[in-house]
Parts: sequence; C-alpha cells; structure tokens
Amino acid sequence: MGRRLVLAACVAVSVVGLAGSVVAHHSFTAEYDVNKPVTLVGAVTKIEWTNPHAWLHIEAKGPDGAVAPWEVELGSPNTLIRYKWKRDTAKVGMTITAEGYLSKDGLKRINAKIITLPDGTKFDAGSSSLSSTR
Amino acid sequence: VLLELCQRIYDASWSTALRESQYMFPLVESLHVLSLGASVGLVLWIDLRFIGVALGRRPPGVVIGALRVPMLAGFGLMALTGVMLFCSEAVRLYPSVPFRTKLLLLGVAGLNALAFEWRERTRGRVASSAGAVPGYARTAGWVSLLCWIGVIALGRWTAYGL
Repeated sequence: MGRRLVLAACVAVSVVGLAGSVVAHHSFTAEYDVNKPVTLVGAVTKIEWTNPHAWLHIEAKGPDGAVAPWEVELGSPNTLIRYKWKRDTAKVGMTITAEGYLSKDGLKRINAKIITLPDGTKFDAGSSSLSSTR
Repeated sequence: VLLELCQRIYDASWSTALRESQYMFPLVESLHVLSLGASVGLVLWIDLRFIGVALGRRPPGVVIGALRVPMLAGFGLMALTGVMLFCSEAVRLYPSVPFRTKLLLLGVAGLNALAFEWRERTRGRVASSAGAVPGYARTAGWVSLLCWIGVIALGRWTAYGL
C-alpha cells in the first residue's frame, strides 16, 4: 500500500513536471507585445536549433524600413518536430516570411507565430504566443 | 576567462547534443525539478522544525536522521542535472543576473548547512531533545529556508526571463 502510494506520487510528479517544462519556459507577455504584430521577409543567416527555444536569424526590413539583422524566436526543438519541422526545414540563404510579435524591450526580435518558406509552405513556429490563440 | 570557459563548455559536443535534443533536454529539466522536490522539499521540514513551526515533539536528530539519505540523493541528482542544464546554456546563462544571484544563494545555503553540521559535530546539543532548539540552530533554519526560497524563485526567473 505504502509503496504503491509512493510510486503513484512519483509518476504524478514526473508527468506534471514534464508537461510543465515542455509547455512553458518563457512567459510570452513579459517579453513580447501581442498588440504589435510584425511580418518580416528576409534571408536566413543562421539557424539555432536549441533548447529551450530555437532561433532563426534573418536579414530583413523592419517596420521602420531599415534592413537589419533580426532574431526570430521559435518553439523548442521538441515542439517544432511535432509541427513537422525538420532540422533543415529552414536553410541558410533561404528567403522566409516570419509573422509574429515584436519584442517589448526594443530589440530587433520577434516571437514567431508562422514561418512561410519560399515555396509557400507554412509552418507553425510552435512558440508561446500561440497558447493564447490555439 | 570565465566567459571563455563557458563558451568552450557551450561548444562541447555533449552540451550541444543536449541543447539540440528533442527529448533529453525536457527530460533533464524534469529530473531537475523532481530532485528539487526530494531535496529542498525535505530541507523545508528540517528548517520548519528548527524555526519552531513543525514537528516540535520530535527531536531534530530523529527528523534529520529519517530524511538525510533521500535528501542527499535528491541533492546529488539535482546538482548533476543542474550542471547539465547549465552546460547546455552556459554562454546565455553566464551574464544572467538572476542566475548569478541564484548561485550565490546556493553557496550561502551550502555554507550555512556545513557550518551548522560542523558546530553540531564539535559541540552541538541540538540533536536529542524535543522542543525548541538553541538560537544558532533557529538562525540556521531561517537562513536555509530563505536561501532555498530565493534559489527556487531565481531559478524560475532565470528560465522565464532569459
């Protein structure tokens, strides 16, 4: 009885822990402004396939009209794979369209919602902004 | 020099593998939180015993004795998974103020525990009697409690505000 209870508690704790750590990580609203949607079109310069979140670096024209390096935040590798991403879905040199929300702290950074490839294929960016609209 | 070291750790093949993994990173994260429950969760009760809030009728030695092994096992796993997570994000964590503060508090909590342990072994009288503990043990309980609350809060802050 006692042992079974301990086992059940262990399983419960690990399930909750796993769910928590996969879903959460950044709070979207702390870092990004949901009232400032941005669409960027630009060439990929670097891909960071990293935990806790992946990043695309692109050279794109911002809302102010200037072409500059932008950081595009995506979900975790695990989330991206669930949305059918592969590590080479976005390649360096590829011109992509990134739709997302502008960073609150004035950086050239967005939290992406949808990434569109040159052939028109759309990928869910798996980022935390979707939790509000999903 | 430290940043250079962080960069080298960050670039190592094993930390890169963890950073780019699909399942390992969330698994290690989960183990880190789970072992936190098994270690800090138990420390909490020892601290509460010392500050006079809980388990007052049991001698502290009995409380500590019962919890020591799972507590230390939890600390071991927590430290191991913590180091792994740090390595996978070393360059990003290095400048983080909440992360640095967390390490500082971890150090204070560790020294506090060691100092108490040392005092107890040389001339302590805390272990065997029921009821209130002497002032230095009460202080150690408060320091430990506040440090660990801080460590956990700063750990969350590091992850969410990185």
